[in-house]
Amino acid sequence: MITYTNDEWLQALSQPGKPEQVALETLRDYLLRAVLVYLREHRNDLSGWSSADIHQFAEDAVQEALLSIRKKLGSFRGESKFTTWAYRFVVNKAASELRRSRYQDTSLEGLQGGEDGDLTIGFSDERGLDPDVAAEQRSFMDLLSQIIGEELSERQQRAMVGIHLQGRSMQEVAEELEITRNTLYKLLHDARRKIKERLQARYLTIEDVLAIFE
Amino acid sequence: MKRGSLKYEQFVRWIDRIYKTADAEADCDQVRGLVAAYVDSKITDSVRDPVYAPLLLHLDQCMDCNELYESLYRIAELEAWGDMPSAGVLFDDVIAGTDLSNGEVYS
Repeated sequence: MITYTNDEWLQALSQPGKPEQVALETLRDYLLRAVLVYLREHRNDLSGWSSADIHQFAEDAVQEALLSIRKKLGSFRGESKFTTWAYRFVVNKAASELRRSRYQDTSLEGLQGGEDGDLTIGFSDERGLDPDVAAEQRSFMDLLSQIIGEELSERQQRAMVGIHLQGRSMQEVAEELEITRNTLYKLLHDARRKIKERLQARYLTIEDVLAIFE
Repeated sequence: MKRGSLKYEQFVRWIDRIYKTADAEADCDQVRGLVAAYVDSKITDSVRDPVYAPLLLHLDQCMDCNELYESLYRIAELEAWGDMPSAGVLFDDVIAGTDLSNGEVYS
């Protein structure tokens, strides 16, 4: 593998001609290896794919990343190695596409609210608890459900349910709600802040809550 | 009525995230602008914690950004230690872990 300093990368990629071609081919190799490392870590998501599918997926991610990198070359400030900065683009492309292919086959109806808008939170795993402990836990869950129902907007509730109760990715929920990931993060942050404030207003610390669920 | 069911561990993590919520937090775009530098400083053991505190808080709250960070770290670490396999070897590794075994060679 040819190695470049950050300055050499920037110089080579900014000057049309042979040096640029060599640098692009080198960068392509770096990105291809990066996306394959990523796919190696996510083999479980590739079930049912042919080797040609995987090959094409990797090539497409690299190609799209190269276009983005060239477009955003001017924003590289040298705070990291150039290659680490560049890997971000290809991992981002691959992760986005893989998530999308993962949830395209699954129902998204879970993010739709019920008719009366109430939310009840419960455990899916059986825990075989003492009735008094179970009652205390139920009481806290009811309080949490009440806070969510009273304090959060319908949009915030849907975001909370999608991310924290259903374990969906930020990207999936953002696309479902037709907002950017950044907007979704702010929506969730605001929701978490409101819930935290309401719990603290009742003098419930995290230690108190966890003690109920020990 | 909407009903949300979650596993006990999921619930504890959710509660933990609620209580760790700060008044102001870095958003996804800000974190994605910092993550490459953070990865490199972790690999070279030169992390200046106060600088990256907002990033760390965000990574704890956002699974998409956390996945990006962890993947970048694994890739950059392989490069830093000179352990990055060739594309052909990596492709074979990817295939070996799936239900494919037609022996296709990456070119």
